[in-house]
Amino acid sequence: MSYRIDKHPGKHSMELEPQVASPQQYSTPEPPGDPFREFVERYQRTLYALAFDLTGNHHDAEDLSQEVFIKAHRNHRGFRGEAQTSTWLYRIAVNTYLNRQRKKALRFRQLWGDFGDHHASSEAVPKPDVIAEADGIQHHIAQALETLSPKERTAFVLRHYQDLTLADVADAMGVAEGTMKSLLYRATRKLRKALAFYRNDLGLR
Amino acid sequence: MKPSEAHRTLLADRLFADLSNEEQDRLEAEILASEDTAETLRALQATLRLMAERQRPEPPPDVFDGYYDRLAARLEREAAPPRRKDRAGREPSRARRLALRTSAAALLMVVGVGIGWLLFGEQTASDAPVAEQPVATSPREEPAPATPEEPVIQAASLDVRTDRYLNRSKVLLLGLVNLEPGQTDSVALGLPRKQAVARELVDESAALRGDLADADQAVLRDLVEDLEVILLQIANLEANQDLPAIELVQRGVDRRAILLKINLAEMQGSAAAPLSADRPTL
Repeated sequence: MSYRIDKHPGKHSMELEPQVASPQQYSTPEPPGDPFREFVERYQRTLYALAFDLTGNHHDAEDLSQEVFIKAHRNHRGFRGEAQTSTWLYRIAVNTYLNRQRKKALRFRQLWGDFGDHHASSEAVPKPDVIAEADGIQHHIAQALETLSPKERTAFVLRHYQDLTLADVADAMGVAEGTMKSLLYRATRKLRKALAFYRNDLGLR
Repeated sequence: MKPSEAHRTLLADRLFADLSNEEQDRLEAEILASEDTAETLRALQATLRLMAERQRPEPPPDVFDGYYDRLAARLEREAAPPRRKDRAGREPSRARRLALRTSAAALLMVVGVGIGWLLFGEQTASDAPVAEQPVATSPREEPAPATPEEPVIQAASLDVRTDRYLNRSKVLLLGLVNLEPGQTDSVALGLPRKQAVARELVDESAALRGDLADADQAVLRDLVEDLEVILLQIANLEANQDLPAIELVQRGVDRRAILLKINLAEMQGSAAAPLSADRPTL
């Protein structure tokens, strides 16, 4: 059986609108002026969608997306135009998200000390009683994504829900393509395991 | 049997690399040469097909209304000079300062009434209590609120939410940390109910954290974050008894003195504001 994973442009990702505002086109750092507003309004939906894919809930998605814009605002002078604005924003978003998750992991370690790096969220494998209450396949998918580590989730989301090429994903995450493929492979294996409880119902093998 | 390292590389290339159709066909032919690897490929492809069915839920309708205004306000807050901190190194929020002033005024009134009762409360009915004299005069004016009402209502709302959250978390944690070692009676454990409460509290914590951060209540925000970690662990306990995991929760609670922090937060809250009449229970 031959199956190709075709990309579904537009199914999950927002198509990036033509770039009409780059960070260098506004120069007023404090307070933000109209060019920054235009920049935000141009990218807010795209960034929000990415933030939601990474965090899994609307509150954290808004918080993360706003933090990315704040960092972009602070660092716009460092943007030399060597990459597309969207790529630059993706990099900031990925770094911000991963830093937050590292801090969260540190808090986990502080809580459990010698008992190890215990990521409750990364081990949130759906239990039968949770499945019984689940609201269908979308809930199962969301739960499965929760089993991934932050890097695995980032890689998977960028590749499959933001439709980036492998090279773009590797660039956004600052890793080599080979490392990216390994991350994606591990992520997919974890998702398969997480979805095992309802594999039969969903026709998975 | 798990695929070998070489086959894992093939699988990763086949699934994720940006290849031409010819390259994909070549890889697939190599993969199909091994039944185990082919089986793994089919399973992973099925998984990816399922994950592709994900539909990103629409954001709440008001997310993008005022998005820029909220962002600009946040930028201004972050650019503002740091507030003067109190002796404990905290930055008391405006709501807390107001609450402290109000409670100090209420305390003085209570002390005054108490002194009046002690001094004049023993007098007989025939005496004209000094306290009654002001009744014949014009009524005193009520003190004007120090600040507009709306911020007080909003502050009380966050305080009430925080108080409810902490109280429910405390009751839940006490139910777990006070379990006798070796207790295996699942009915006595009441785990499903505890897990349901833990999940509700986890759902509530994201919004509460954000609101506490907006209100510059860093200590409470950190406490809610710590609680979220533990509540997630409770929510993921096995449906049947999961004693090692329960012990882990108990140790985590002890190690971080979570219950002590909740008590301290409640004491500070009760000193600043009236106790909420609506005390939630599990």
